[in-house]
Amino acid sequence: MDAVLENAWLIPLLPLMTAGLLALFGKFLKEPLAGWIAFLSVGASFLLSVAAWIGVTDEEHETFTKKVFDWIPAGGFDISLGYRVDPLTVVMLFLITGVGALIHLYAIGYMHGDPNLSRFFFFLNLFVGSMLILVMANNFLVLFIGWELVGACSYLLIGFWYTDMQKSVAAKKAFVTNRVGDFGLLAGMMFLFSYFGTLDFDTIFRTAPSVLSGDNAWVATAVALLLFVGVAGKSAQIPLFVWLPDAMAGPTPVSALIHAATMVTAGVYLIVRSNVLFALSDIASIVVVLVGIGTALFAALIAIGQYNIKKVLAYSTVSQLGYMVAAAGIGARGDASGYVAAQFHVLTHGFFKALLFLCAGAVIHAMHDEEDMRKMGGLAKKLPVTYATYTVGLLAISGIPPFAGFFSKDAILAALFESGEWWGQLAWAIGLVTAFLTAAYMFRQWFMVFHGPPRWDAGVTPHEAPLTMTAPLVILAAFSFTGGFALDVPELNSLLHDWLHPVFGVVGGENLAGAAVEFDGTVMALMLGSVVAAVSGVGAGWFFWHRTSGEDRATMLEKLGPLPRVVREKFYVDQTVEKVVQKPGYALTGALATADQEGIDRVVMGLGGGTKRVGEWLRKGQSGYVRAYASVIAISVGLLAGYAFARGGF
Amino acid sequence: MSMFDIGNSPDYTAYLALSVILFMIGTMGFLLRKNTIVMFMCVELMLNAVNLALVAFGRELGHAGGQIFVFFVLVVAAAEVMVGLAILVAIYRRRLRVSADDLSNLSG
Repeated sequence: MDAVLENAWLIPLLPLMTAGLLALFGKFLKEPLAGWIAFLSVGASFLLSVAAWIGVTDEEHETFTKKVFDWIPAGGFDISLGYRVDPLTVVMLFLITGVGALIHLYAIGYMHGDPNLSRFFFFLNLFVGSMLILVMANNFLVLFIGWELVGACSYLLIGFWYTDMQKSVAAKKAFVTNRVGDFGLLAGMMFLFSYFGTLDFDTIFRTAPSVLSGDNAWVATAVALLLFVGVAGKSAQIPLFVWLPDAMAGPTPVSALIHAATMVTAGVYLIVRSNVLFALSDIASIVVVLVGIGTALFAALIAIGQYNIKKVLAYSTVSQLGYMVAAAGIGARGDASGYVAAQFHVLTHGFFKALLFLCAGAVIHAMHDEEDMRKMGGLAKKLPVTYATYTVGLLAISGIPPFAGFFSKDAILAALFESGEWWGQLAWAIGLVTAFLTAAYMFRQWFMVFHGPPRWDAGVTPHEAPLTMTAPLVILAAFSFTGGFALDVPELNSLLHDWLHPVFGVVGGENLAGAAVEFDGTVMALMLGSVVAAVSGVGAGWFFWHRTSGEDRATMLEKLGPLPRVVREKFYVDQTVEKVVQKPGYALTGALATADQEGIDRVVMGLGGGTKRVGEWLRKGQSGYVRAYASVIAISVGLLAGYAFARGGF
Repeated sequence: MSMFDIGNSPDYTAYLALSVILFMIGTMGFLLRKNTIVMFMCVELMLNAVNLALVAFGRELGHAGGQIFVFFVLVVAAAEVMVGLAILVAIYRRRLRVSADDLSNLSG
C-alpha cells in the first residue's frame, strides 16, 4: 500500500479542489448539485483515509512522512511542506472525513432552499480540507497553516447569514478570541525553533527529552504553557471559551461539524501530538488539568440554565472539551493513560455530539427555525427518528453503559484518578460532579424538547426531516452506540490503546501511551462511581424537569436565592469580559486615535502646510520672463567668475 | 598660477579679447532685446565666441582637442537652431508676434 501513502496528499487536496470549483463556478451549479459534489469529494477523502489506514497497518504502525517540497529554504531556517500519516493522524482522518461526509449529506437537506447554497458548501469543503492539513502536518508551521485556515472557515461559516448583525458579531468574536490563542501557539513555535532549530515533529519530539533537560527544563514549561494558550483558544477553555456558545449563530451543520466534532478538538489533538513537551513539565500539566476540569464543571453549570436548544449543546461541548483537555494534561503519570483517553473521547464525542447537534437541527427545522426550548415539548411522536437517535446520543453523552460516552468518559476519570497525583484526583472528583451535571442538563433538554405538553407557537406543524437528514442521524447513532466498546474496554479490548501506542514519545524509558487498563478493584469502583453519578444525574433531570410541575419548580428555585439567575446569566462572564477587556480596549484604541489625530496628524499636516506657505512665498520670484531668468544666470556666472579671479584660479 | 598663464603670444591674447567682446555683445543682446529671433541670434553669437576661444586655446597649446570640440559645438548649435526656429515658427503662427515678454505663462 505504499502507493496510497505516497499519494496521501490527495486526502486534503480533494475537498480543497472542490472548494475551488464551487468558489469559481458555484453560481452555475443548481441547488442540490453543489451539495452532492461537496459530499462526494469528502466521501472520496474518506475512502482514501481507509486506504491510508490499511497502508499504515501494513507497515506495522510505522510513521509515514513525506516531504512534498521545500517551502522556505532560508539558510538556517529551513521549512518544508510535507505530510505525515501515523496512527493518530488516521484516527483524526476517520473522524473528520467520516463525520464530515455525513454532515455534508445532512446539510444538503438542511440548507435546502438557501440562495447561497454553493457558497455554503464552498466554505464547508474548504474547512474539511484545512482541517485535514492540520492533522496531516509533519511540522508545526504546516499545522499552523491548517490551524489558521480552520479559524478563518469558522469565521466565514458562523457569519454565513451575515446580514443578521448578531450573527456577524458572533463571527467576529470567534475570530478575535481565537487570535489571542493563536498568538500563544505562534510564540510557542518561536520558542521551539530557537531551541531546536527546526519545527519538524519527528526531530523535536525525539530530541526534546535530552534538549529540554537540566538548565533548559524551564523551556518545556514555557513552550507547553504557550501551546496551551493556543489550545485554550481553539478548544474553548477558560478563559477563552466565550466564543464557542456564540458560534452557534452559524447554520446547525456548521455547529455540528466545526464547533462540536472536529475543529474544537484540534486543541486536544495538539496536546496529544506534542505529548512529549507536555509530559516534560509538571507545572504545565497541573495548569492544563485544572483549567480543563474547571472548564468542564463551569460550562456544565451554565448549560443547566440555558433555554436555547443549541446553547445547551454548545456549553455541553465546552464541558466535554474540558474533560478531554484534562485527560490530555494528566498524560501518563502513574498508571494513567490520559492521552489515549483524551483521543478516545475526541472520537466518541465527535460521534454523539455531532448526532445531538444534527438532531437539534432537525428539531429546529421541524419547528420552523424556533430555537427556544420553552416553545417546544411533546415532539417525540412527531419526530420519531429524531427522537430515537437523539435518545441514543443522550445516553452516550450522559455516560450510561454500554453507550460510547460511558467508556471514554470512564477512561478519562480513571486516568485522572490513577495518576496518583493530588491534582489528578481532585480533577477526578470534579469530573464526577460534572458527569452528574451532564446527565442532568441533557435529560432536562430531552424532557423539555420531546416530552411534556406541546408549547408550540400557533401555526407550527412539526414534521420529520427528509431522508438526507435522517440517514446521517441513524449512522451516527449507530456509532454513538458501538463507538465505545468497539474501541477500548478495560481488560477486554485495548484496540485504540495498542493502535495509538507508536505515536507517543519516550520519556525516562517509559512510553507516554501509559499502561493499558487492567480490570481490577479500583477500575471497578471507578466505573461504579461514574455510573452512579450518571444515573443520579438522570434521576435529578427526571425529577426536576419532568415530575415537578412548573410552579413547584419556581418555588424550589426561589429557595436557591440568586444562584439560578447567576447560572442563567452564564455567571456574568460576558459582562465581565466586556468590563475587563472590551471597555479598556475601547478606551485604549480611543486614546490612540486621539493621539494619532491630535499629535501625529498635526505634525504631518503642519509639515505640509509649512511647505505650502514657503512655496507661496517663493513662487513670487518666478516672473515668467525669459530675460529675468537669463539675468540671474548672467549675474551668477559673473559673480562666480569674480570669485574665481579673486582666488586666483578654480 | 592663473588660468591665463598658459601662453603669451600677442595673437593669442587678442583672440581671447575678441572672444570676450563677442560673448558680452551676445549676452547683452540676449538680455536687452525682446524679439525672440534677435535673442536667438545672440545665443549663436555667444556660442561662436566660445568657439573662437576654444580654437585659440587649441592652437596655443598645440593640441587638436580645442578644434575638435568646436565641431561638436557646431553640430549641437545646428540641431538647436533647427528645433529653436521650429518653435519660433509655431509661436508666430499662434500669436502673430515673437516678443519674448508675451511668453510669460510660467510666472508664479
